[in-house]
Amino acid sequence: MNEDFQRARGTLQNLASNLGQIMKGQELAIRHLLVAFASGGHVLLEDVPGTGKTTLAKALALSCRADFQRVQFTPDLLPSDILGVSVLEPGSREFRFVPGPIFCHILLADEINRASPRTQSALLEAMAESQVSIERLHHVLESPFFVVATQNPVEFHGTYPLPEAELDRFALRLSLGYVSEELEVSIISAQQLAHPLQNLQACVGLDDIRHMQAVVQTVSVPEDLKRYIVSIVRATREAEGVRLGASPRAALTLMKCAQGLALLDGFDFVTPDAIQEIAIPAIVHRLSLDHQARFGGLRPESVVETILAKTPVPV
Amino acid sequence: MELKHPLLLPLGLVFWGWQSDMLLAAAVILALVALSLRTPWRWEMGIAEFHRIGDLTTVLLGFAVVYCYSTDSDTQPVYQILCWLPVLSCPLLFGQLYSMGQLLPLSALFYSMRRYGHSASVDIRLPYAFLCVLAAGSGNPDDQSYYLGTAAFILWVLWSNRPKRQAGWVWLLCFALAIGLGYGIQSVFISTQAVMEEWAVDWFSAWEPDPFKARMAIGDRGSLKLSSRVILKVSANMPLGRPLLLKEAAYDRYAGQYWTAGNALFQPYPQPHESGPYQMTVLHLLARQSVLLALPAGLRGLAGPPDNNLLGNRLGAVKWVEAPPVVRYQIAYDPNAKDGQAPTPNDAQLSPATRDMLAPLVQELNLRTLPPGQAVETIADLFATRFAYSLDLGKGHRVGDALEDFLYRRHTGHCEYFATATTLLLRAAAIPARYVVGYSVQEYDPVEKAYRVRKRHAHAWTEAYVDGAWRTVDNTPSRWAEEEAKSDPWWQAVADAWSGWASAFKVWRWERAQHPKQGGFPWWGWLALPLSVWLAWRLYRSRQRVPSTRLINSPSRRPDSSTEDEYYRLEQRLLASGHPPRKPGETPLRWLRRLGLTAYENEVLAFYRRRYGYAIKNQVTL
Repeated sequence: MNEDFQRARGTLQNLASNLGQIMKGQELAIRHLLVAFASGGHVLLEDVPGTGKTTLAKALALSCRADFQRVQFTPDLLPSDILGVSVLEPGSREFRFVPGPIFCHILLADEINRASPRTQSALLEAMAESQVSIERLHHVLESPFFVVATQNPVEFHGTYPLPEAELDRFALRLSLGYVSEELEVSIISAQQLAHPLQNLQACVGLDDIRHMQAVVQTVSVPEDLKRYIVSIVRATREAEGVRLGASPRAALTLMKCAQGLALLDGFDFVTPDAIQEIAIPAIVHRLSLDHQARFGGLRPESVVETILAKTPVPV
Repeated sequence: MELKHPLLLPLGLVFWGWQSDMLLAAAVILALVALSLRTPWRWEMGIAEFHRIGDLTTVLLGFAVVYCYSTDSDTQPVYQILCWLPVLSCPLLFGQLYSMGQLLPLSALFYSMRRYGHSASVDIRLPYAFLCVLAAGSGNPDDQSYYLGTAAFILWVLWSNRPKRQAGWVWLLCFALAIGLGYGIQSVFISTQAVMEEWAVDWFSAWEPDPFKARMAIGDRGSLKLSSRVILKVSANMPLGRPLLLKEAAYDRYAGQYWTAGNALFQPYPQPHESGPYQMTVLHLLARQSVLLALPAGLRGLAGPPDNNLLGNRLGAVKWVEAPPVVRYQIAYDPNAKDGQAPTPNDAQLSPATRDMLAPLVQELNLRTLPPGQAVETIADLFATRFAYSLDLGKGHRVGDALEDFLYRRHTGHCEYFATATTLLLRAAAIPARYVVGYSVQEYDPVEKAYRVRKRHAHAWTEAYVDGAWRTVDNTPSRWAEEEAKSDPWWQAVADAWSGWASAFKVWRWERAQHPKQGGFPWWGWLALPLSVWLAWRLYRSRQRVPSTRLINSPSRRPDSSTEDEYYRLEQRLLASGHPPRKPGETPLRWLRRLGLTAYENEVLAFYRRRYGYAIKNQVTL
């Protein structure tokens, strides 16, 4: 195990312990959030209001010495509010591009599904290609570029469901869920005087993050595990009750996240366990079930679980 | 492959065995299913082997269909096949259970999928369980156990798939409602069927020969529908020059649409044993409990039926009671023999209304004054010159009017018109006469060297008492049979070939059963035994047989890894000590955790490093 590897793993572990101070009882969500962060994917946090989505995203941003921007998505938000706009300079009488909040390292897109699909789509290019094209100019976003979006489940009032193309650009969709009664008591006790976020110290720098993301790419993936990943993803396209299966991008994401998970667990190679662990958050939000299956109570999670149970593990 | 309801298959088999009295077959299948769970070995079956199993099942089913439809039984063939369906389709089930894949490719069931190369697979166990439930329906016991059992099965399967949006009791209520509704509807169906059957029996009995009463289609509307089904086979010792009439029954009292036989009770019939110049063998293809024999005029000898089972009436109808499945008898007859039995007053009966209706014609033909022989000729001339044959029944009339219409206006009709009119005219001319029904033998089949008598060859004619003897008088125009043959469908030849084959097979089996000394082993056993021995030998000898412990690890093992890796030995050890095997979708680490053997985790992690950690590392580039 070489030095690079140890350093990258150290970065991940520092972040994990920093976030663990803020978010009690959410180890799994933190673990998956960091895996996506390390592998360069974006994260969609979906849960009911008040479970700590925004707190988690802010905690990650504050733990990094990086440029952090937050956009509160509202129904009247416009694409230019995110991307930036050219304004007429009164002195030189020329147009000057004023970059929007998207020009940052970590972007918190809060309550993303409260904006109209038009505004939601403004993120498509940036998330997929880390660049913004406005008025015939391409603005390349600085690495790392990481989007954490939060949203309420679509059944709630005043929300617009994210288009499939937008969903496909998120590496993982995570939900936090409620914590146990004991933990909930300790959370409200801890926040009686001050919010823990106020005392949070940044623990990693931009160099550490870039280094970590480079190391993740070197985690080895044997050929038959690549085939295993592909067969899982392909099985979703033929699964019963599924109208739209997972894309090749899903297979790529699954591999990258499994690499990140292997790094976090101290392996320099991907294991089938890592693939199975990350498969559900990496795939379910990309599946679109047909009406009858959905009406019959089928959930995308159980589709992926069935596929995992059926697909033979290369041993 | 985990089945959601592992008990469904055995319970389905037991249900089928119980309901349709097939407990032995169910027990054998059940034992083989259980054996598949206990034995470690599996066959490595390719798609081609599954296709062969599918073909085998198809052949078995085809064989069963032919067998059931060509043999006589108390139950209908379709119910027999239904009852045997689980047995017929069990090769598919065992194909799946004893294969490595544990799934059945759908293309084994559908030829269309083979052609287009679809590769979907199904788990046939649940469909098979439901096939058993379906087959259990063939038992048809009087109680409600089948309905309740089936409802329980459906409830069981649907319960786990019920919509999660609703509380369980709402769903149960809906289910109970559906089952109750189904029960009510089927009760209505059953009582409706009983009413319909009664009605149908009433209607169809008009077409069955009744030795006491014959209903005619005289006065009906539309046109006569005739069946071409072969019902008799007659082989004669010499060719028949002209159509031969075989009499089934005669009637002497006329009442509107009916001819009845008065005072003609059946009594034990003394079989004649004389010989005559003509001999023939008659085979009935529609066997019933009691059969009216078809006999020619001038009967001299009758052989075949046992003496005690024959009954006859004074009008010449002979009945074989408690007849066997194959009704066959030999006849000797002499067409020139005279039947001098004296007529009764019934043979001259004529109602005043009918007499008045016939009076103008009797007057015109001068029938009253002619000698009897000439009167018969005159009447025959009348029908031959002025009348034509037709299956058209006309507009429909009251019966008396219909006959009047036939005689004075329409001049066309079918054999019942001609026979009735002839009989009544003869009586009006003071000649005793009877109405006779039976068959006309005229269609020769050169392949079987026998005459075929179809249902549409049923005929009616007259017997007249002239010069001290009964004489056959058939005034129906001779082209009636050609006219009726026009109604044959184009596939009649195929139907005839089938009926010929089926009757030959039936006679052959009957004859074998009559002579049991030819061997107790069933005839089809000689066909099936070598086939099954050969199949079993081929399957056993097949190189594709592999122990199932390898099955778990089979997918894409690393080519360069040695199977002697410590982990594989660990796996073998755990299996040998009775731990359940790793499921295909389970990683070694999860498997150990499921078994609670966390002590071995380090060994597995070391194995992971050897197994997955071999790929060439990339350099970190910043």
